[in-house]
Amino acid sequence: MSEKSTQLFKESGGKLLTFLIGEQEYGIQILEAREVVGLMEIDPVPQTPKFMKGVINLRGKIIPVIDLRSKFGMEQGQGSSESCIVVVDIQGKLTGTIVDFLVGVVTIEEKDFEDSPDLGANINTMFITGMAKLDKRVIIVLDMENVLSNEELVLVHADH
Amino acid sequence: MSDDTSRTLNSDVLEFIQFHFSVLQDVFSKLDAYNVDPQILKEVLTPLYEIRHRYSDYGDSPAMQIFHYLENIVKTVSKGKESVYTGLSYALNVFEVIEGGLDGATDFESCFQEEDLEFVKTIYHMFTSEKEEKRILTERERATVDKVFKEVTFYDFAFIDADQRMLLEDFIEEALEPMEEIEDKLIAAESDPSVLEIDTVFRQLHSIKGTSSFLGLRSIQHVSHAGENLLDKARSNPSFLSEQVIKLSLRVIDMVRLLFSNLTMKLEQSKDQKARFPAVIEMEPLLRAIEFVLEGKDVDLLNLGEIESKFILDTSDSSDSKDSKESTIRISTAKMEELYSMIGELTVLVNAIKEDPTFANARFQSKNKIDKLVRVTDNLRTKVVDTHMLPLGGIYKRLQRLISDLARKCNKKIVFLSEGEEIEIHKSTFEILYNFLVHMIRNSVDHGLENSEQRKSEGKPEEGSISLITRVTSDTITLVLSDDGQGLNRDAIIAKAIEKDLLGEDEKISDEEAYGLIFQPGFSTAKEVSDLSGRGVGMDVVKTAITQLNGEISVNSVPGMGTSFTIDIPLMTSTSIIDGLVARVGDTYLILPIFSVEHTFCPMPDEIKKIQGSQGEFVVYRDAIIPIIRLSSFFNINESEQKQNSVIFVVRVEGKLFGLIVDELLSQQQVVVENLKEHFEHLIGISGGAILGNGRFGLILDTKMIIESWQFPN
Repeated sequence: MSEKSTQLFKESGGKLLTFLIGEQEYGIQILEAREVVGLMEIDPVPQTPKFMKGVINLRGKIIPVIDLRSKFGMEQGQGSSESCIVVVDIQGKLTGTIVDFLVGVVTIEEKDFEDSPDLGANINTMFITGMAKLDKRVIIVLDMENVLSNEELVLVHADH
Repeated sequence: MSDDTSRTLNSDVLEFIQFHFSVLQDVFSKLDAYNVDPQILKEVLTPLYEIRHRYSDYGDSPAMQIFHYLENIVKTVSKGKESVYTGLSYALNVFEVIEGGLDGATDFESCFQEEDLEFVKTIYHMFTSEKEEKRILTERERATVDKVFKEVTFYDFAFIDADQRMLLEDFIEEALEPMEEIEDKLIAAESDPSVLEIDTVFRQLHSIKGTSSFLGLRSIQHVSHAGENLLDKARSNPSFLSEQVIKLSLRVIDMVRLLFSNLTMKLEQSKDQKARFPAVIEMEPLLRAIEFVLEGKDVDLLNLGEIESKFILDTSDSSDSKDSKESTIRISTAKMEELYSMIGELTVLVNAIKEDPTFANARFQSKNKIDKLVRVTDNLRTKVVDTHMLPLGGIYKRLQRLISDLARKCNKKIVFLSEGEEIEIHKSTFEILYNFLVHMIRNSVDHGLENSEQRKSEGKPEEGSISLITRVTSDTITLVLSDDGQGLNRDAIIAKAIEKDLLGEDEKISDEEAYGLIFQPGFSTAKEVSDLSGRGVGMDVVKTAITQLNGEISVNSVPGMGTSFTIDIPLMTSTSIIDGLVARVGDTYLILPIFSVEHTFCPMPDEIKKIQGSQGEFVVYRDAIIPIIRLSSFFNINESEQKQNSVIFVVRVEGKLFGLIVDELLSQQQVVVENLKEHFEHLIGISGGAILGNGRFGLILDTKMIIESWQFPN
């Protein structure tokens, strides 16, 4: 098991905050989730990659917001009244992610969890800690640290 | 003598005395008890003679007697019959009495009370009894002494004005923490001297010495200087670092603390009109003990014991003075930050209420209340933000003072040029900035600038100059501190570096590398340790402080022309508030720092001319042709359809004018600069972000970077 997966069960007790992007259910470790806010005005920041939607003013704090759809190479979705922003806290740094629908908190068993599977070419498994089965649902557990790693941002800018 | 003539005479005398007294004040303020210039003492005597001889008729009046006593004391001191600094401290006491009496006096004969004379007499007797040793004070004298003399200390200030008071109070407060640290470290090392973090202790003591020297606290400076000498020897020679040295160093700290508490008392008292504070702390035994130890002699432990007990007694005596201070409180930054972010939250909420249609259409009365709420919130926010921000002008003012003090001490003529006092910076940065600038300026004055004769012979203007220019550029605050002195001595630096094993014997290095060596710990090329600087802790401290701020320092020097330090501090650590012009391009809000904008105007549609066959556009502005940069295309933002509100910002970059065009100019407001580096790297032309009054986010532009990358893409 990867370090992340261990952390998932050891520290977060297998608890995930899950949400939908398109039809797929994704989850993040509960420890990494800070809060969920309704979709609010996002101010674009020029010169940033496409998946960087911009920044929001969260009670006076400037927080960047990314769109997982474009990060995962999915079609642009239409924001609905159910869309919201999940704010994650990675080592003290807050970042928002737009999700289509917030499902809730679930607890998964270690036996129902698999480390990073092969999902084909169009999904970069670097961002994925693993997959979890829960009844008939399959939840893709995201590794937010990697999703948000600066590497890609820097690369994009080098081309600029 | 008729009543009338006597009255005229009376006021004449008063005027005359007041005039001469102001001369005296001048002279006295120049006196340095540890380094008395006989010439100055003569200068003190002259006005005193004048007063006495001209009005010898009044010989019996309290005023004349008081002046006479003062004259006698000064005379004795100038003849070298008495230890100068003890003597002068008595003189200063008398001096204060006179000052108190003359202040606001309208009548010469009644400006001093009997009790003033009584006090002066006592002081004088104490002074003379020091000579005769055994003379016992009469009971009456003893009573006066007990009443007025709480503590017998040397005090440094003849005059304390409001400015000085502020500086002193600041200093006392600031110094408490390092003092405690030093003490803790020393105590920890008492049984095993080798564990002492001597560099840290030394550096802290050095800072205390430096500031007290600048503030004219000669006794504190003197004691800490002695302590520094002790530690310095131990620093370069570890075997010297004995238990005794630690013990002595602790005494030094005790002494400094005692002097501090006296100063506090003095400050408290001088708030009253007729305050007087006497002063002679027995510093000499300690200083002597240190000298002995430095010379390698053993200090009689018994003797040392005596010093110790005396201090403890003294400290306990003055401890009650601590209760009476405090007009400021210390708040942990974490708490302030919490407050800060809650205010942000409040602002956003209030803005939301304001813009909520329900409230916007509300009846007049509720609207009024909302307006009030908005105003109060705004005020609150400004106040909280204010607690963090200080204008650089405060530093400049203190530095100006420092420079004139230092100039006088070194007998050099120096002008101080400064720019950027309106820039506001975060308090934490402020303190650090100030501290290292003091070090650097000391170095400049001490080693950099030559004296007048030397300058003349080199064909330079007689007055040396030190300039400090601060600019907020791109994402940094840049300070350039330069002097037009002799420049750094490359050969001396290299020789020293080789001596200190920082450099191999035949290593070839560039000028830049050589000058960079001065930032190494313990590096100093000064031949003599001076009062002002010259132990080589200075630049080491500076470098550490700047690194703490994630900043950088570089040095540039031309022999004979001067030295210039450039310090860059990222805005991230110096969170600041700027005045910005808020503009809109498409849906994006942009903020142009007001200091970077020279002018704004709305161009007529046909005023913007296109250059045939290219994308280039230009506009004629005040007879100059200036190129236009469309911020929309620069940032790849979709422009709005309607453009009748377009505004051109005229900016100057490296002497050339450029026009930046936006869709609309919205407002001017103060914004709190937030660093975006944490989230976005390599944003071109953007130095930060800020939340605008309407809760939206605005990008702060770096005009210089925009122009540069527009001129030279990549």
